[in-house]
Amino acid sequence: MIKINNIFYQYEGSAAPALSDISMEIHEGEYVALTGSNGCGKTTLIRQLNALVRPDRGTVTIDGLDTADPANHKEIRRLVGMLFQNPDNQIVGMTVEEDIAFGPGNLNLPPQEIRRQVHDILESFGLQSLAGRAPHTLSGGEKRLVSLAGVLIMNPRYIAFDEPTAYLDATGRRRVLAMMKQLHKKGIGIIHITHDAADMADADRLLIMNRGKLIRDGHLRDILCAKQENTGFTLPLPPITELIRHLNRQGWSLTPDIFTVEEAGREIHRLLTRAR
Amino acid sequence: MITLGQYINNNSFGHRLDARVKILATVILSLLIFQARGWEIFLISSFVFIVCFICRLNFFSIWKALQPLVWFAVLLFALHLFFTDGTVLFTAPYLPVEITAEGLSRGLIIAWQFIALALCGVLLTMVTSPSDLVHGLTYLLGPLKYLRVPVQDIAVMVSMSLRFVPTLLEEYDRIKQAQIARGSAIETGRPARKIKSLAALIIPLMVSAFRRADDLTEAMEARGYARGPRTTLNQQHFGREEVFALLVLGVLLSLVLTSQFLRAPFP
Ligand SMILES: Nc1ncnc2c1ncn2[C@@H]1O[C@H](COP(=O)(O)OP(=O)(O)OP(=O)(O)O)[C@@H](O)[C@H]1O
Ligand SMILES: [Mg+2]
Repeated sequence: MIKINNIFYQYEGSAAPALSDISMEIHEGEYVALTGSNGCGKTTLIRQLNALVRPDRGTVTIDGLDTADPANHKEIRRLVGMLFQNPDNQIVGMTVEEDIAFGPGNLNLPPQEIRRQVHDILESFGLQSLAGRAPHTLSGGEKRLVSLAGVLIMNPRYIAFDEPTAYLDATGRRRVLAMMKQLHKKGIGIIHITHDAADMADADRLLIMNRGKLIRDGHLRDILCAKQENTGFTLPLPPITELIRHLNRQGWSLTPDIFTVEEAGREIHRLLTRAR
Repeated sequence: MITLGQYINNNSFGHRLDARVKILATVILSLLIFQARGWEIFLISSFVFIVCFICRLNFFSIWKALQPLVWFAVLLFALHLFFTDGTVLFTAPYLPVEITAEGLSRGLIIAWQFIALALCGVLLTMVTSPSDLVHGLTYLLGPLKYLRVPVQDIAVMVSMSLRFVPTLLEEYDRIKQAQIARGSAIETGRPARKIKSLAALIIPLMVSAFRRADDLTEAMEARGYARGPRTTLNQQHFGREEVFALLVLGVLLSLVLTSQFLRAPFP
């Protein structure tokens, strides 16, 4: 379990704290979406989970390991994988396979073992043909997959995804989201930063931040259904939800809490069958 | 780009060979090239050609890698040809230029040495992946750790730089395009303005490089990097092929050394 306890954090030389008084827990196997306007502190918050930055006040513990203790860092970084906003900066190897081998190399695994693991993960991602490619020759989607492979090879218990679908086309986006859902099914805790309500569909829980504070924390559906209070941040609803609400305003009576195309499809189908 | 030749693995004997042996061979060959006279030149040249064949390298790509250096070799040749005193072979009409036998032979040897050295470098990079090269060098420089040189950390640094050279070049291009789009004179202006525009390009590039270095450190830390010993997927192997390669190298070395000893037994 990830436990964040009253943390404050301010970047050196900045006027306002990037995180103030945040407390929450993330359980193993949970799928949490995290949203908020640009600069509200989402990236800073997940950097705390991996001990890349440590709180000025308060504590962050990962499965009981305090991030303030440098002796825990190696284990914490194995437990919490990070997918950065820009995959260009995440890929550190000269070739794809070398990059994926970077983490296991840091754990000092023997070369044969690393080779075996890299081979397996390349195969499961269908990336064998890219093994020897230099990172700068990859497409945006391929870079995402490679960085994800580099994280997964460490067998993390939680993975924080920082806007994983940014820069991706529709296919790439679907592919990454499907992969995240699959990881969640395997029991990996997912923390998913996104600006797009349509991307959150698979999350159980939604966190909303504003100016360094956690302003909402609850079931995704409850938050999306509730009338949004004036908190300084309005979450744009998925277009499909807007459509349903629009129809309802015109006198149709569809279930209002619809957030995916599948749900909308079922509902409209129900209505049309009845009309026929 | 800083790579001399393009590494394409075709799994030939030369490609399979352990990087340490290849680096060692390149160093020894380079030393021999500096010393070579007379028939040794022929011997070493044939050796290098045979290696090209064994590695099944494309002669056209070798030529492409060497091409920029050939003009320099021609220049070296011309300098020695025109400015060496000795037995005059030929005097150019109307020009104060004499071509001497010594100049001709010196020029040829120097040009050959230059091309042969470059060729060895090209060969090494064509048959060895950059990472194998780095790991091979790390191993060979390993003893330096007793002098407290952090060889492993340097190896990681070198790999990182190699990884980011193309990315920085892309970045350079992007910034350049952005500035041209905003009316920079970098490609069209007069030299003085061009230089000014170049300065305006270097600064954002440096800023972005530092920023990238920050992000990179973070990415490495997030994946559990800490200074000190770490492993890689590069396996070093010392088998029959390596022994054979070293034997061949030994034969070449002793042939050249014997020849030199016979030429000047008491230096
Ligand atoms: N290295 C830094 N030094 C100083 N201030 C920083 C640094 N990184 C971020 N900040 C500031 O901290 C605040 C939070 O930044 P953060 O990157 O966490 O936002 P974010 O929610 O991830 O935004 P985005 O949606 O744009 O990615 C911002 O006001 C930002 O300007
Ligand atoms: Mg961010």
